[in-house]
Amino acid sequence: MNKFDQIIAAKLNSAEYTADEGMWTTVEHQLPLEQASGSSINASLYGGIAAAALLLLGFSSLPTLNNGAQEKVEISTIDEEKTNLDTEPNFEMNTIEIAADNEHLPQENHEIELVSLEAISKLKTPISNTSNSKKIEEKEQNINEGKDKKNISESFSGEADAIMLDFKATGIQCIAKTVHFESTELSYSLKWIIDGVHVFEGNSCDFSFNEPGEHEVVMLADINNENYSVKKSIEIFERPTPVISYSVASSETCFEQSIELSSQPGTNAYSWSLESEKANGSNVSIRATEGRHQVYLTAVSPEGCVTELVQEVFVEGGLKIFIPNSFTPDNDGQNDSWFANGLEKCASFSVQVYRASDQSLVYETNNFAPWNGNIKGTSEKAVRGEKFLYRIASTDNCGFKKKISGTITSL
Amino acid sequence: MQLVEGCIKQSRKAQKEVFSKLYGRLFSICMRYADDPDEAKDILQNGFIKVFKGIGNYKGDGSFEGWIKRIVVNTAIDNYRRKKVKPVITDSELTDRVGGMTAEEEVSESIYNQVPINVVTDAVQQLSPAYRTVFNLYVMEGHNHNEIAEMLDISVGTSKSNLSKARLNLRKILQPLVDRLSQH
Repeated sequence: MNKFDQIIAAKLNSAEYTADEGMWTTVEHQLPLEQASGSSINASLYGGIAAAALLLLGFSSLPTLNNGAQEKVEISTIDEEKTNLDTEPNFEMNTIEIAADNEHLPQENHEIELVSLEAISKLKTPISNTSNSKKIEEKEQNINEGKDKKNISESFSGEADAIMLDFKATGIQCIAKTVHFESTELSYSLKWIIDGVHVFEGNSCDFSFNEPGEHEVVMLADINNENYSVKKSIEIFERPTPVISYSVASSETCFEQSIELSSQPGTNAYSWSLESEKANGSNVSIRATEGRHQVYLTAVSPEGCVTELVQEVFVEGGLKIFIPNSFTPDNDGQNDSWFANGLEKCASFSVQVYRASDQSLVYETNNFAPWNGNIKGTSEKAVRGEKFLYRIASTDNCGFKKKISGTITSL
Repeated sequence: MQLVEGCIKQSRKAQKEVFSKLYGRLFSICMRYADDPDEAKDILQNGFIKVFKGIGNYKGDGSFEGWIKRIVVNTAIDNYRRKKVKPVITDSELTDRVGGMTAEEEVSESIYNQVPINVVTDAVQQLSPAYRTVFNLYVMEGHNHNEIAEMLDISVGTSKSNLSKARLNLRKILQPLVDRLSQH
């Protein structure tokens, strides 16, 4: 490495960039679920779904064809024995129609509707040690059964107006999601009992439910050495269990084939991805080349519960282009001209051929017109052993664009 | 190691921490291999997905960051291969120049220290993918020409040629600015 290299390397190494949070959302969306039980799937998933709606895939533009015979461009050569004639397609302006039906999905700060089981109740005996959940449970049970409860209307006479005690819950009502319970009043010493077992202290608590169904939440307040409680129930929902079906619409005039994907029930929000392509909705169409592919599906129920699935799909057929790597322009009636077979099936295409030696343009066409070896703008003809470079830009009948380049040898 | 364990468990918190911690360094690598920032982002995004999905392959040999960097560089090379862009025809004259530099040239090199970082990055991105990839693998990643030839499926001569042309083109691209800097 010389001094120039060292300076350039030092410069490049000192470049600083700040993290792109949008990229994290996209990356996160494509990762497997967390392994730990009870863990939550980050709310930014929804950001990922929204981000997918703006997905636009593209690649750099081709040089134009109309700059005349003397146009010189930087050409890349492909060793002829290694030339892959049917190159892996690139995407250009291939937009996916996205259904914008994810906006209504619950967010982490979504306020959950709780069912009030019992308004403010005054407990007869102060609870000094709430870590003893059994004791609390017994007292709660007594209260529920009316054994240990004061006449509430009696005990609250004169007090009810003074005591403001309530709580709310925010989050997503799904198993393994965190729900945040918080008192609406901050001036009391509070304790929480969830399902009669889990005890927390403080003005708020976070809890992840592992079972679907109704769950009981009690908030206890110590007010002037008297204990009061508020009891509510919260409903927790299961993850969705979608059923995927798919079909492949085969076409010989398109490079890629259309995979029609659908998932039931339609009430969920669905986000699909196949390699770099993404689409949202219960019925989507994703294009893919021939071969076996894995389609990832994220289903989000109306309650915000998430399930991820993988579906393997097999695609076959499609438009293929065969490009000879040599021809013999000697007018012997055999292989006298060069052309890429299959291009004629494209909706549009352009072909440029350059001399390898000086990279000058020697032939170009937008029509089915095989090259006979004549050098554009001159009376010259390709000589035996001369190498040329071709660059083809084609658009199939589905609007998919593909660029191919390689070498031709005149024999 | 906690981060690694967290990533193995697919912990979003651990993954996010790795993402945030290494984004800057990894993105600068991708910028060197890409035509533009958008392509660099695509490479890095695919790299991160490969890292987090393939975390089970990390055996603890060498640093975790080094392992991630290798994956990102390999992703950039895969991206280059996908574009099917191959090196230009070898120019033997230029190949012969590789590594050769006079004392005068060495002294004048210091002017490049004054070139802003973003200008250098832009200049590298203006190189053809074939030149740029060889330049990165040789200068930035420290591979030799035999290794590069194998990695990119090209000849050693082509690797040398492309490195030489990459250097010359970089100089050409930076020349107007270097001239202005020299006058001051």
